[in-house]
Amino acid sequence: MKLVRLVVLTAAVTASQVSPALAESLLQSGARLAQQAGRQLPARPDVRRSATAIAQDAPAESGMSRRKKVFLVVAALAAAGAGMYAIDRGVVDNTPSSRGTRRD
Amino acid sequence: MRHVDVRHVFGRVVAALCAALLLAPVAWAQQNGGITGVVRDDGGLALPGVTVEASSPALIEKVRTVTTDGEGRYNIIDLRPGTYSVTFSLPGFSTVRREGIELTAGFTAPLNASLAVGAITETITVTGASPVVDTQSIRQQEVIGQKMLEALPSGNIGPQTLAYMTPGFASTQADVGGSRDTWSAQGAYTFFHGKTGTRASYDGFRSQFFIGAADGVGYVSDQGTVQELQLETSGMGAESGSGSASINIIPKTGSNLFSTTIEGFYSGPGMQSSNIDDGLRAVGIDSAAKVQNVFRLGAQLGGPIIRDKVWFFAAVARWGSRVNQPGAYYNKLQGKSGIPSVPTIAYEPDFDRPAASFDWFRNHSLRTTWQATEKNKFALFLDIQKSCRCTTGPFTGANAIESERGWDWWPSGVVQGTWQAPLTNKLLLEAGGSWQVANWVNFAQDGVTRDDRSILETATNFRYGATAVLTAPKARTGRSAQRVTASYVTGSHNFRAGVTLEQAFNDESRSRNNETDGLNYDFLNGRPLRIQYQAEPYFQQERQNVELGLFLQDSWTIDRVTLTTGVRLDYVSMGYPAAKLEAGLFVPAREVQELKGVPEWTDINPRFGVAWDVFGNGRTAVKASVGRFNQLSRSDLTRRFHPFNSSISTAFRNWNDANGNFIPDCALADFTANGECGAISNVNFGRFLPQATLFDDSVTKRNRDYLWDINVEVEHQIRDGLSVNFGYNHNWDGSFTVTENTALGPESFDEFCITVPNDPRLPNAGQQQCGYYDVKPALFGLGTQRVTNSREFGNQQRYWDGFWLGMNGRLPKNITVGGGVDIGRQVDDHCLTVDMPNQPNNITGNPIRGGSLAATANSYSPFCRVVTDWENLLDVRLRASVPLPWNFNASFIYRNTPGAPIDATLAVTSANVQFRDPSRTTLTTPQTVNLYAANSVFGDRFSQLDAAISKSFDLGFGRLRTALDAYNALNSNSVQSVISAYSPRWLRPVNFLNGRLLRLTASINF
Repeated sequence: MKLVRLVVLTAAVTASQVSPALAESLLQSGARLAQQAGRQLPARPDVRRSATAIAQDAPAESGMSRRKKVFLVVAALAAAGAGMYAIDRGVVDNTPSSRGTRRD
Repeated sequence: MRHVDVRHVFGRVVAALCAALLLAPVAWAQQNGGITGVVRDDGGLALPGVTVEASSPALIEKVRTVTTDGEGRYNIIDLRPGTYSVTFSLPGFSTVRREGIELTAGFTAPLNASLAVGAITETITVTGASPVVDTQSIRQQEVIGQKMLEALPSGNIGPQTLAYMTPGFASTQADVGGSRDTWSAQGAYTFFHGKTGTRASYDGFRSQFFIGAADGVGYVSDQGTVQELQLETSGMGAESGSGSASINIIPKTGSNLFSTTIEGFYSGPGMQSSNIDDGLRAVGIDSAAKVQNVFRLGAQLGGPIIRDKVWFFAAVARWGSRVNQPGAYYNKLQGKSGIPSVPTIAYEPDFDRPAASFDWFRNHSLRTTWQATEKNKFALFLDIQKSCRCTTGPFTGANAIESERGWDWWPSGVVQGTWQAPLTNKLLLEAGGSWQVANWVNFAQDGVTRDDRSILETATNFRYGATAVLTAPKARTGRSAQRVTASYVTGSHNFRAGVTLEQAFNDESRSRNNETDGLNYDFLNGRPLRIQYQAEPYFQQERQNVELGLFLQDSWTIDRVTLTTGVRLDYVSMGYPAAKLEAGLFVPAREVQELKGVPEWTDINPRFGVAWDVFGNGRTAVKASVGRFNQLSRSDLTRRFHPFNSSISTAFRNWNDANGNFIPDCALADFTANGECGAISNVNFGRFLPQATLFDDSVTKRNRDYLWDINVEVEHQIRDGLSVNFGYNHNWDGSFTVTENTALGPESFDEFCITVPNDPRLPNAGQQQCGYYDVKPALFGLGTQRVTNSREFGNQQRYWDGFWLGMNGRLPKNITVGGGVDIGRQVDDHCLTVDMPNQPNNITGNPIRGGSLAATANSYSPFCRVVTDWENLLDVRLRASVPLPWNFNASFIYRNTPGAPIDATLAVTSANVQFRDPSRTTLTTPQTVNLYAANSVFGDRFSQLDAAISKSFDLGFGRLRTALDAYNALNSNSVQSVISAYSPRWLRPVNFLNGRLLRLTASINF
């Protein structure tokens, strides 16, 4: 149940884009971290093809550098991963396969 | 038509197919779209040799090219759903470019062009609304894309979602915002226009399990992978295999743009309204299901690994639900008896522990698309799932939660691979394979020990203590499929040929919860009554060794008319592998040898249709089609035939617990009366008797069940982007299976009458009603069961006539609408005498009741012609999505469908029957009789409105979307099923719609 609340809270904060008790939304956090990363990490001139593809596509729309966008993606996926991990821990798992009692 | 020499036919068809493949290979393309048309000069003369290029971000190969033929026609097929630009170029003429052509699955867009004399470097861009009328395909289909799925209050999106919105699908147990367990919800697509057996597929590969009717879900899909849903209801081509309708999920793929989506939804206990009203209270219902949570969190990431070369799309999701059921509580007395051999002997609700149905799913999928060379494209998809349908049923509180069982769905998943090769601009090849498996091992609920027994309190029909049976320790089903197709496409011909193969298996244990002796008990008013035996160990296997389909089809466009002619050969062979079962406490060791060819069926299925572009402008089409289809391949005949099943595997004996210790003080393995135990109810229990049931060749070698489907339709584009259609459908089934008793005939039965209860709601209230039969006492229990074709005894029929009016597309201001009205009439006539006059038994030996009702043991009816009339099959479903200012959007889905069937059955004993023969006074066994024709009377109409309002935010680098959905917004309590047994509780609702449920949805995409 705690996990579900966490998911809802995350969704609500994200959706509302306000800064309640957690001070800032997930998006704002992602954007801030991406900006910080962009300031801290100098761009490398030699990048792989896939990274070039990112540079050609997304920043043209967002005005955001490649590195910031990569960081944002990683941050968002990490947040989703954390949410799923929390859900996995929160649901009642009484399956024999998880309890190690399957006999097939 | 039905029985043909398989080798003879195979030889011809294989030869024809080889010739076709050599001359012109093909395309699968059922789920993909196309663009077709005629190119002329500005004087109206056809232009041959025009280069036509279709390009789209949806194509990893970027562009597909063809040239017009001598009549100026072109035809591009096998295009993935997406937005296309089409360029027409010819030296000496200006190039014409048409943009914004939106293709959905299975839609062939008509697109003509006119070229003016000029320089080829001069490009004229033409804009206009995308075509919405398919003037070539005879297929009747519905498609819903990702944008609409996102905009509508769609609940948990799955193969059932489109059936839910489509008029003509029989009412199923409704889902309110995902509060119904996902596995049950995803399988809610059974009947369309009276036709059974809808095929469900993922990316064109069948995704259903192989158990019984085989129409349930075998692969549970993650809605985060769904790009489009495609539903074909009539006019399906020769490439379509068994099944009377077809639902297909078109999955998302990567692209040259990176895209990340995080999405989820949630409903909680404070977000539901009560819909208990005076009407429900009047029948004793004062509580409803209460949602504890409905949740989902999904993440998808797609993009290029190598631009224009390798794409990927990965998706991970978690979702589930927990819903407290009305009046359901854990047992305060579970395990408290103090008797080791039966730890639970009574049930007392623990009001501090409400019981809930719950499930959860974990999906992890990856799709890669690889353009290996200019001509060869490969795709590979993998999904690994661990899931728990933790209460089977779905659990409704009708029994104690401890009598429920869960499904441990691990490991489960699917692997699919495809290859596509447009070898030339006329010749396309496609091949693919799929393998899926679903473990569904049962487990007992928490609090239930393996010493507990399932106890049925017969006074109230309430079960507690433990589940009656577990499919454990092993339960595994799966299927694999392969296909090779080829298309040869010219401007006026679209010729296809192909081969499809499917194999399937099911391995299934059945065991009792109690591990010591496997006995269940029946109680009467809390005291022991009977001991229920089961032959253990029990393990049964079925195999679909092959389901082969060979098809040839050509669509030939002559001026404005397209003729589609196809033929399909379907061959299926099933059986079971060799198996040994060890001896148990009550049964000897059993052994079967491998057997194939039960059943073994071969069918030729012709399909024909014509589509007429009435005015040649692509706006109005008249279509007609007729086709023969085999019913969905399934395992029930093989299950019935298996010697472990055709032997007697269950029986009971009476138990007089004289000393009141709840322990049967007798020799349990001695089936004669001894101690506290009576004699066994079936003397064949405990023996291995595979010949207890006979199967006629007319069932196992011939006469696969089939369907004829006739469709006539007019479709017209009434404005840019919006079309309406009106049509007529007639379909009928053929080849029915019945079970006869070899020792009985109509003369073996005595007719009796009953007095209909004096209730004004019943026809013939208070009057005597005859036409019921019981076997003569001297013949009771004699004879051998024989399964055969009903044609041996008479003309069994099931047919449907109906009309529909539908619309689909966009209104002004970008309002998207869909849905329509569907009305029909169905006749189910099983008035033939097999044994009992006018009351045949079905394949399982139970009396057929008619309509969509399942046959039930000892439930007889003289009403053998069941007519479900027009007013009871009127079905209205509408949907719309309305853009509002400030990036808001409103949408709804509305369903108004026939109400729940209201049947009336009466349990009769010797005391309340009167035989025509005055010398006879007693029944051989108690019966349940229908008081009027089943499935002919319906309750108040079912109504449900789901609504949503959403707002999108442009974040600069992406899009955030939030939504508030209101499911069952009108807080209806429409009844979905009632108690049909005549008693003071007759017509009391068993299931009714859950109360209004709010759901928060959010997604961010960048």
